[in-house]
Amino acid sequence: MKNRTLTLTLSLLLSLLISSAAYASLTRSLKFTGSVVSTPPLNLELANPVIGSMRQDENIDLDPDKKNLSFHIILTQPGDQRLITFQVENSSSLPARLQNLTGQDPPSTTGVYVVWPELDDVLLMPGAESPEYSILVIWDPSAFGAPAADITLHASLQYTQDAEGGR
Amino acid sequence: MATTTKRKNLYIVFGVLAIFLLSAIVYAAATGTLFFNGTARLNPDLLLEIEDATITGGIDTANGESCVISGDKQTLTFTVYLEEPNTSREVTFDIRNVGKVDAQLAPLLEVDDTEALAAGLIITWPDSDLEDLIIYANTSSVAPEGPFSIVVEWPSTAPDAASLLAESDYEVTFSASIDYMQYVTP
Repeated sequence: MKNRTLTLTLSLLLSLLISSAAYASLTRSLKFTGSVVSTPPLNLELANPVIGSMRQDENIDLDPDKKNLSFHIILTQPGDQRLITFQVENSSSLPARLQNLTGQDPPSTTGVYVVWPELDDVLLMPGAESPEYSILVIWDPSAFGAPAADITLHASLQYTQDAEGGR
Repeated sequence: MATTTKRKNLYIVFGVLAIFLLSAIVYAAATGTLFFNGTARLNPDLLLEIEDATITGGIDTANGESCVISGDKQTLTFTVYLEEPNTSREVTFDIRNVGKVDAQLAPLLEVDDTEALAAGLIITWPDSDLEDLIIYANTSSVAPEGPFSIVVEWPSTAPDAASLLAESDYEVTFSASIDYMQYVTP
């Protein structure tokens, strides 16, 4: 959504610039030459989010533009773990490459750690769906006695147009 | 001449701006980010409660005896009546695991027996029975582990105990809370 807004804003600015230059060239007899580059937008979406063995009061959700995956899990004892699986779908007409997934680990005092998936350099052709990836959240079996707490987990996955055109 | 230079500069400025804007558009269109946001709630649901507390032989309310479990069922407060030296009273209780995870007991907490000990009374706490005892989820400490007992004794060797107790000559009040942590199978 941000990218679209940015694209729109910059396009408007560019149009204004070209119009100004055109106006200047008309009124002051200046010549203006330029070229237009048409770049179809690259768009990757998250798909098929699932919490393995989901319990009551747990949930997982994708926002409408499929860019944000949010989940809520409940761990009841050390050794408890949850596997959150998802796929990435390339819904654009350009080949894309996943760059990296940057995850923020919870503080070590919580006894909870997260195993984020390795996605660096994965190529996704137009229309293709990635294999299933997983985020593993574990309450360390040796961390008993931890108080009840809510732990926030964040990660972001960047992608870019494949420079080699999918080759 | 000056006008031509100005125009050239204008071209350069427009050119740089156009390149910058074009690059920004291409970059914005060719990259993106997906986000993952989650919450992991640690809900150990670890809870033990004191239950079935009483004084052996019945609570002598006429002489001020009482045996009260607190509202959160974590603390037991009792008052026993000792009529004369060489007598004792026994308070018994059980502990129930009402949580969803197994628990391991520790000795009782917040035991206030300083005054009684100074007066020469002997109090036997069930610490050795409680320490490290495992109470599994949804079970109680009833036999063979329980019930646990606290014995308050006025020994014949402390004939002046009653006069040394500030509150009342024959009534002694104590309070103790259970202490525990989650038990995980090694």
